[in-house]
Amino acid sequence: MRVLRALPHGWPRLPWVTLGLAALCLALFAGLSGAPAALVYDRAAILDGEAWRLLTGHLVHLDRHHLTYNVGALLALGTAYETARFGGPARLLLAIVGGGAAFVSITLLTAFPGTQLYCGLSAVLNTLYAALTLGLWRETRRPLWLLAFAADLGKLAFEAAFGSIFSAGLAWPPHLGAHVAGLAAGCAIAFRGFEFSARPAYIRLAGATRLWR
Amino acid sequence: MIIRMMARPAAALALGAAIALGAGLPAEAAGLLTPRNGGPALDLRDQHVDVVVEDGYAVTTIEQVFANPLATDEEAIYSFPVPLAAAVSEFTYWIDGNPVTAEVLEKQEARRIYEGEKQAGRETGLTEQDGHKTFDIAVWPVRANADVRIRLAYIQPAGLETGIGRYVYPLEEGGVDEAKLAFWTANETVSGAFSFDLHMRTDYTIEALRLPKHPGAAITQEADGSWRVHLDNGMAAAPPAPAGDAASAPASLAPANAAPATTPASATPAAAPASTAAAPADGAEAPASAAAQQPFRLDTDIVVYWREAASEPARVDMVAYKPDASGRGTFMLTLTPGMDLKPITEGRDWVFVLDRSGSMGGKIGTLSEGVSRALGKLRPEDRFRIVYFNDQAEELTHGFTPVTREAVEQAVAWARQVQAEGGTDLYAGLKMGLDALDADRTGAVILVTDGEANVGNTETRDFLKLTQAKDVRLFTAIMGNSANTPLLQPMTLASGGFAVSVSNSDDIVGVLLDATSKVTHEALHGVKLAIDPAGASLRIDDIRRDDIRTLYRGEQLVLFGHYWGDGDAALKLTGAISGKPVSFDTRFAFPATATRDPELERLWAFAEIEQQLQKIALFGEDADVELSVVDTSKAYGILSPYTSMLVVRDERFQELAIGRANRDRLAAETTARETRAGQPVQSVRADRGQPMFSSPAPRHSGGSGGGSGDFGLPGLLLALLVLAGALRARRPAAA
Repeated sequence: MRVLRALPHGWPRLPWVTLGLAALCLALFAGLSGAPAALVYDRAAILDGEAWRLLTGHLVHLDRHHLTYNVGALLALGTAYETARFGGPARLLLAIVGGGAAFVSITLLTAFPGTQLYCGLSAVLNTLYAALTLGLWRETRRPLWLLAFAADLGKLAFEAAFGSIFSAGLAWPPHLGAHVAGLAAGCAIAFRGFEFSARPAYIRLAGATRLWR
Repeated sequence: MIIRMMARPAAALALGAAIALGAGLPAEAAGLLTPRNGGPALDLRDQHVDVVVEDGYAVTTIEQVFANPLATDEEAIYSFPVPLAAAVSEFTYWIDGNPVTAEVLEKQEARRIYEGEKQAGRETGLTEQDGHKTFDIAVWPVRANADVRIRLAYIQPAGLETGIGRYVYPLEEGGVDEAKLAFWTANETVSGAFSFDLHMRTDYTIEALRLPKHPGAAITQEADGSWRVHLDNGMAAAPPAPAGDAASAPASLAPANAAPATTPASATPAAAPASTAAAPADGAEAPASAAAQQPFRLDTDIVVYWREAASEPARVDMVAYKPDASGRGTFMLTLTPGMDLKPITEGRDWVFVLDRSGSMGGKIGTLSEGVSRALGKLRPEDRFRIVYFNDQAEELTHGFTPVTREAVEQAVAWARQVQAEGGTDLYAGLKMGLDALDADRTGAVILVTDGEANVGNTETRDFLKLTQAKDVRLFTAIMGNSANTPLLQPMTLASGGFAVSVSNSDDIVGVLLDATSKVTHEALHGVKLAIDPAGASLRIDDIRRDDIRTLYRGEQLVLFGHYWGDGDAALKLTGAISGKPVSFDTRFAFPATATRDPELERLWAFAEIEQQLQKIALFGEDADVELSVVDTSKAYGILSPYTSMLVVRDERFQELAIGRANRDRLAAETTARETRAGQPVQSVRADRGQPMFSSPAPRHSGGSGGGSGDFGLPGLLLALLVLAGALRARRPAAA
């Protein structure tokens, strides 16, 4: 926590967006008993106009196992990204979660017409992972971060070939296409958004907001 | 399973309060039965369930202890729902500390001997099948202040649907037998130790296991790729006695009249925390005990799903048993087809025919939820009607309704308000649904029922005529345990449709996804399967399989048969997809000897008996067919509606001139099971050399169905490493 308090721009001192997103996922799971039909990505319902599912599908989870790993990874990656010089709360909320989720959902709609239902945060976590590791590499130029990025690629390749590693208990199988789409979105964000990294937080917030107009 | 206590004042008050509040009846369950006007009930003290899924079938062994806290000797009567396609192969009763295995006798004869032994004060036990509803076990005597131990085992095929396997340990009583429910009460609580263990051994990669209604179950994968599921109620369990090893049975359980009746004090806190133990972290060791609840209530089915890896191929699997090279062998063939079945895009008419009779009381919530979700899946170009039936049929909609958001929302609201009451005029409901179809459009009827027709026309033959009179496919969701599967299954298959069993413990979204995937894709119609020896050294006969005329996306074909000799055989599957003839073939060898799976003989016999029972259902009672069922049942040692399993003291078997064929068969099976357990998992794929299908087997992932995002343990570890690295890299700047 000492590192967080010493942030140069002084705000935010805690990763409030990350904590808020984690709390939202937990609350949705606890309050609505897992993945409620009204919130999951449902292709037919989305085509029928229920556009909120493009986003909410990524925030609901099938079971405790599913929720635990995804929220755990969100807390770790979100904290690092939200407090990074090139990241910040607005970019995390709008570019990563909003943009990443939308990109993944649109990819599912257009490239995977056979996928009727989808839920879970992991595709967005791939966006976050790619944006964070490539952002850190661009910031520090240390090859370690490229290796970290490659590790996620390796994980996806392994899962494509042999199935999920240690995964037990998911009613719906992990969707590799969504994960790859999330990773691609993260790459785009990392290279598109680097120029904002040195600006103060309030400018970044404004800049990030403009990105979505 | 139930040991009902409804005669007790508190339970009666609770039921009365529930009725007064307008709530549905509490879910019935399996258990120890007591007449409603009788005295205090016995105690179901321990129950241990052990399931092994291997080589395409599941063997379930249930061992339990009944305790008698009373001052007089009592008869224990235990009832539980008939599991789907289950061949009961063992009933064992510990007498004087020694396990005595039951033999199969004609039903009336077995009952007569049981009553005679009981009158004479000698130990005896009887297991009967009450039609398609329940297995009933009677044991005499449970001595005053003592307990008895029994074991029951059954075998059933364990298949896949679109890559998803499903095993059900049925506990929730179906509520379809009103006479029985009126007479008996049941205690559905295990006061002592309860455990459920499932071991899944297969050469094919299983990606995940899941118990939707039992999240506290421990699920682990072993080094050899097999999976284990463990569930218990956190109470110390007496180790089950190995088959045939009376000496190792716990002393307190061995002599029927030796142990004091002890109801554990820990069994009393009804407010013990409900399931708190989560499934273990990925890759972690299973906890020794996944606490569920104490005592354990036998009112919720245990449903286990497993998902095969998408990379596993379409294929033909064969398991054979032939102990003697010159004798007769038995085989089970399982086809997991891979066919190019394209999605259907044209608009369709759907008629939902829904059962809201009293027997649907415990299932109406699942029904309305399933219908709501099914309606939500309809496309704008579709139309629908909804028909309900109990004592009579009525249409909820006014003719075919276009699929609009408002119409669906209104229908969903109606579906959620439906109350279960009255009798079941299934014929009237089905007729109204079938008559409602428009001949100019493609249509289908979705029937959701437990099938217990008791009002109006109940003749099976008339149901078949009704469905065959219309050129329409019937899709049936068979709700709950004890459902009238013998009526619903053939009726559905005869129409070219398919039937799915639905438990209240099922993942209704998953069931719906699978059914949707079937009806929205092309299917293989006019299915014909031929298996012919390639040379004179092999002869194949006695093929038994379900009368499947249309093979839907993700369905498997299972057939049993006998063979003599050995050598190659050619297998050919033909049919038509959208009017275009297609053919798939392969060739593989039948072994000269195979000793691994003696249980196959009972599975073949069960398929044979099922076929005979269907004849009786279709054409009425026939003495010759009934005799054939009795003969097969006795020859292979499996329970049927016309036979029972009887235990008497060892010396009484001799005195009554009852042969011990089932004991010997069971000994061979036990030996084979122990041998298998010590061997590595074996491949059962038969068409490896010449694959029968070139297309992959359909799976929900990547095709139709649901997907999820699971970052998993490796992802979480990577994330933590990245966080640590990022914070570390920032320190110099922070300083």
